[in-house]
Amino acid sequence: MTTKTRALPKHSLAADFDKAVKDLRAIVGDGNLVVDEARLAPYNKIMMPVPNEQHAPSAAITPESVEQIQAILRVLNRYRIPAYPISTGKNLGYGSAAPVQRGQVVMDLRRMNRILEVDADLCTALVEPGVTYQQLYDYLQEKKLPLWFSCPAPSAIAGPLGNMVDRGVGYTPYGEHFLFSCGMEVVLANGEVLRTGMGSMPNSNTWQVFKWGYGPTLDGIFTQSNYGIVTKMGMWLMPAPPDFRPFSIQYPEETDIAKIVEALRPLRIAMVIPNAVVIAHTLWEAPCTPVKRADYYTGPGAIPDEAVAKIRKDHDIGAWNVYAALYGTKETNDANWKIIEAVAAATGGRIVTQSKSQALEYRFDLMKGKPNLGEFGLYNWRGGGGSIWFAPVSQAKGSETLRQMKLAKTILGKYGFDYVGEFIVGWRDMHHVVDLLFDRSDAEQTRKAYACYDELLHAFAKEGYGMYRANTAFAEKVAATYGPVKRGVEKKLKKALDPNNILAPGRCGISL
Amino acid sequence: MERRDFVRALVAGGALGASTWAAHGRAGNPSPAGPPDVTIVIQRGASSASEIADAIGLALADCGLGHATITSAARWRFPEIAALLDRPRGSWLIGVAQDAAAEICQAAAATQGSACVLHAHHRIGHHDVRHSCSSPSVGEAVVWTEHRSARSVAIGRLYAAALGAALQPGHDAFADPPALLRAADTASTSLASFLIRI
Repeated sequence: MTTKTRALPKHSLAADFDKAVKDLRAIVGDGNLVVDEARLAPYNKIMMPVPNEQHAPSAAITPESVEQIQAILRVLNRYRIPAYPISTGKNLGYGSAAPVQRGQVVMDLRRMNRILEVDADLCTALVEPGVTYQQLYDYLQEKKLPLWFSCPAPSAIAGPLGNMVDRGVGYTPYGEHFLFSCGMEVVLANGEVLRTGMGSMPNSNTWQVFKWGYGPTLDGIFTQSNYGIVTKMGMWLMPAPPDFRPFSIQYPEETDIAKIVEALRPLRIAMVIPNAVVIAHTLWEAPCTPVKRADYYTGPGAIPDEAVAKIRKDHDIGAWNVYAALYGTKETNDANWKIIEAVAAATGGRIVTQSKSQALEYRFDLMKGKPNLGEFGLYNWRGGGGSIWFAPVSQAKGSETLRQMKLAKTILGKYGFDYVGEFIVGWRDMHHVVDLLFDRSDAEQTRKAYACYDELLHAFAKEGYGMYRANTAFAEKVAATYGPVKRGVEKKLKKALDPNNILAPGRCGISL
Repeated sequence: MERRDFVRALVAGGALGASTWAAHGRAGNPSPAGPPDVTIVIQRGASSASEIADAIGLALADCGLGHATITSAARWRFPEIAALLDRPRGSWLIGVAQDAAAEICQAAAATQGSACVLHAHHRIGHHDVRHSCSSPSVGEAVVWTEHRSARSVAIGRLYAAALGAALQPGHDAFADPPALLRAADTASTSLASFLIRI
């Protein structure tokens, strides 16, 4: 019989850890420190193709204030125990709520869940880490404030602060979440509290309106890193436009992707289309429609192209399905709509503005910042609870599309996985997001998923395609693709800001 | 991992706190707390969900553990999930649903501090069913494939054991027919189930 070994922090002795636990309990109270395995379960549930034990926490602590965090850090520093801060813990497919390394104490900030301020004139908000998008949405609705935010697909259960700190993206014109954040409060490893930008100045009222401050702008170093614990975040809200016109354009052939990007990029850069343009492949659209994979293919390996073609035909799904929207007045949208119609006609696309498809419904909702859970339909495609995002970045050029798609499809197919992908055209960049879906309850599929991701990562890196975001199991490998100079600087910053290496060592490959 | 070992570790882990009731039962004393409040929810439209839910319900009934069974809406959007999780503290929710719905429900439960203490994936084919069960108190998942004619009795008993129910003599989940060794039927429906303590 397998006996579960208690997960202790690296280099920690059980006796010292137990003393630390006693000290931590005195800070937060019994109910807010968990060491028993059943209650730690949510912090060890992962979707990645690695054993749960690799990311098992030693404990979880839920502070309710900056003061408690400071007290916790004093204990962690004393005993050299690492903590892994999470906000809502919904980084699904990127590591979820589990620590980057086994034995870390998860610092769950969900009790810090106040919407501290919403300024309806300046269209800003200041939130704590535990605030979810659903909570903020409900708040704005209750107060009848005509303000929208941008949210990622796990919207209803995820939170703006955590998503921004991981540099996630959304689907409104404010979809580059870090760009549209303004001012953070960060508790440093030594317990000092930093407010970035204008927040460092006492009595300033520009913390949420002017991002840069004076001197070096520090906000970026607290994203995708482990240099501090973000306890407040300013974000910009978008005034609800008088006229919101979402649309989809369907294209019949996979090879259309190059001309789609070439046609839509100029509209994106000119802000005729002000939000990120999503171009979803059939196999992303299908599970969210929803379509059952088993109705079309039950054989081994990746789903054949013939079956994919049948799905398109049966369910009126394009080979590529563009999603974008116009935001403005009726007059400006009427004018811009003519441009959209002309581009669609010139490129062989068919505009769709209404349909019974659940895929269209959830996309249209995301483009107006309405939280929903529609994209979770992806998890039904293969079943078995395995999902890991592969997300390289390229230029927003047509020439970058087909070869990426072919490379991804070839590698995925080699391991028996489907190409469930989409391209997202940002400001000048393109995120190529692939959901590597696998049955995590099947040991062989899990092994193959790991090998597949590894090969994807290195094959794309060789071509110069770096990842914009990565899961915790591959943090070190992804960091390595960015070269030694960058890593050397990151390590120097880590040594300066967290000399005892207690904040999430290993996150994004940064550790002492 | 063998089912027998999984169940032993599950129960020994005392992971669930339901054991107050079970411990009193085993000792022959009436529990002051009473039996656990258990609800089984079946996602409407989830293929074969009833089969798994029935197996769990039968096993609970067999152990004298009362429960309610409800069929939910077909789509588990946020309001539906919030409603499912809006239950008395200390009560238990067993869900049988599509993978996506199960994943969201467990994630939402975690947000409110509720623990998922057992979860499983089921591949239901024309002839075979493959079950894979995991629990935080056990180091390894237990996976087995059985004939569909076995009516998922073993999974039902596993859930009953997870709730701390004393299985009837002869109804040992260990004693089921040997698991098949072949891979699961590829024409299979994927489902998930879970046990959450609210």
